[in-house]
Amino acid sequence: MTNQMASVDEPSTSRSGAGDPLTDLGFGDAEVRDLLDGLPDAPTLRTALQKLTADQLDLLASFIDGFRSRREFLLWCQDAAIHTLGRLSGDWIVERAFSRLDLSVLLVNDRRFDWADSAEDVLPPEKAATARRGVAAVDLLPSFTRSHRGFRWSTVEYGTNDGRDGGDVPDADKQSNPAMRPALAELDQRQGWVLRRVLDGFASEDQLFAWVQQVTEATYAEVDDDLATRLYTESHTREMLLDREGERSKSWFFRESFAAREIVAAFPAAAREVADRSGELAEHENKELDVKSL
Amino acid sequence: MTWKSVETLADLRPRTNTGTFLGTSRHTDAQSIRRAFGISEFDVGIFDYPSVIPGSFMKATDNSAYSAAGGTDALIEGPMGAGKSTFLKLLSVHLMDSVEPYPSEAVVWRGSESRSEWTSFAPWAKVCLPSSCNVEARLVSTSEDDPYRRKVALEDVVREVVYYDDPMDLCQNHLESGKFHVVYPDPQMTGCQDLYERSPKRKDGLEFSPNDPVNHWWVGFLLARVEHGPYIWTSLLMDEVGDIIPQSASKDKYASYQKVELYRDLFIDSRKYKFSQYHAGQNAEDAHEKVKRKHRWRATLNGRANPTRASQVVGVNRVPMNTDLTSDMPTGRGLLWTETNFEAFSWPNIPKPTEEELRIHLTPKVPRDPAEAKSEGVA
Repeated sequence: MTNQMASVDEPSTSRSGAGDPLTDLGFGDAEVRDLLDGLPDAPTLRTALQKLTADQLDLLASFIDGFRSRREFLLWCQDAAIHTLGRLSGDWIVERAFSRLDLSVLLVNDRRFDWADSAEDVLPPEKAATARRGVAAVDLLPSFTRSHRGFRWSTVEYGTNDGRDGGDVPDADKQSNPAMRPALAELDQRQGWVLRRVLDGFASEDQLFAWVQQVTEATYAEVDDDLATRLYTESHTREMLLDREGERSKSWFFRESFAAREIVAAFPAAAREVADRSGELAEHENKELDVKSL
Repeated sequence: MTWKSVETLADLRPRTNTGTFLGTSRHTDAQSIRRAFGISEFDVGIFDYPSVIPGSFMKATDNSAYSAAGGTDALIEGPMGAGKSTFLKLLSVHLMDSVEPYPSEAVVWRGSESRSEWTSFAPWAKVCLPSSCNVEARLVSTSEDDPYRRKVALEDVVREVVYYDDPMDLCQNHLESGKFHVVYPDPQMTGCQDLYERSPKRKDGLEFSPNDPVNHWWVGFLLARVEHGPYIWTSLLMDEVGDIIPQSASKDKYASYQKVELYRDLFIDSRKYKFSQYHAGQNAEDAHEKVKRKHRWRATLNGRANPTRASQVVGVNRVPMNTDLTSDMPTGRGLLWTETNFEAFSWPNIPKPTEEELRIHLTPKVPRDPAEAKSEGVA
């Protein structure tokens, strides 16, 4: 078991390539695009909601596609914390990350067998894909709705003088910030950084302390205040987080579990706080001018 | 198009095999020019805002065009070297061309004695000259290695040369749909005063006489075209429009100011009579505001900052750009805009055949007064 697990410890963010039989079970991009192409042309005056929807669609798609590793799933959870404005709860993340059955459904390569007691417990890929869609229906989409409900009236409504060509309404496709909140973009970057750092381990205790400070910032202090205390006084935890000999493979499982329970679980609350209180920025027309040749 | 085999403008071979010249429908001058210079057919489908570029270029008498039925206009501003003349040449081609359902137009290029950018189109051009004058054409080489200045027969350079008696004769007997006409104004103003006296637009103190600045002739041309027709689709392209309707026009002995007013009145009527006017200049400030206020389309070419506030432009209530887009554009690009929208565009180079300038010198056949006749020695 340990050996099997050791083989899983590679940061795996690459998507499945062509010819992968599992690809067919993934998110049906083309049909969805067909549907959305039929959206009415009228400008949506609350662009931030459109932007939120678009990002949540990406989130949904990668969830249905499944993950290559538990690490990749945790990175997705960090994304989900931001793009659901914290409505996908920390508890949900912890439950998934610690459930063997769930992980055997969420992972789509041979690693899914690593998470089951026996191979018979692992669902065939088609059933697993159905199960992921079930989770999406039960947990993800409701969290999207909750995020919109909490957010809707704090978005800016953009007026236009003539209403003919969208005038001053910003284009959702041109917005780079989650929900058009630069503060969320910043939070996203900080959270991504602290998560990757802990998954990779630290070279010294002092690095660890400095990292804890960054965690505090990245979670808007939603992390437990005794984090540093526990890290330092529990010698086992400390050793697992330190990567003295560069032997990451020994403690990857512990670090992922630690990150899930202590760090990622605090991300949604932080995202929610920030989304509720941050200002909106409409990014305009930084695009290249479209020059028509006559 | 390469002009490799052409060393001097007299080497040009007129294109006499086009349908436009032969009077048949296939292979028009516009198609021939487009092929020669690699200009693609005008495609209204590529534009985000059809009321801007297609709105100015394409016309129809019904509501099938992208702007109100009838003639259109544009005031084009660009510094020296921005490719202004080339843009006007490109515009000519699209105006002459017939893209169903839009008509093919007669293009009138303002000729002036000292400028000859139009020689790119010499093999297709119809040069219209006043019959009141003796014409002397010279080729002036601007090449440093081989400077020269020699007489040339205009017929050896262009496809057609015609002589008009007065503006009315020019409009009624010489302008043809689908052709590129280079019109040189008549310094004698033949027929202008007569046209004016028959016009309902008469004003106090306005008179056309042979002593007027030659550019006043264009007012006479507008009178003839707008009031007497024929009402075929016609576009007038004028570079350095500040020469024709200068902002500095005053109520001088030539009634320059009154003529600007008359020009303005005729400009307003142009639309109804299928007559479009494209005015270009280095500075829009040079053109008289009475006319500028009436322009519906404006172009700002590379190297000049487009306005961002209505207060910066005479006669404009709203400017759709909120930032300067044109200052840093490379040569051959510009922005066409209306009060509601703008669209950026580029145009290809349309090279001149040689480094020569074609200078056309007009001298009155009948001396203005006997005293002048003696001093100038004109027979």
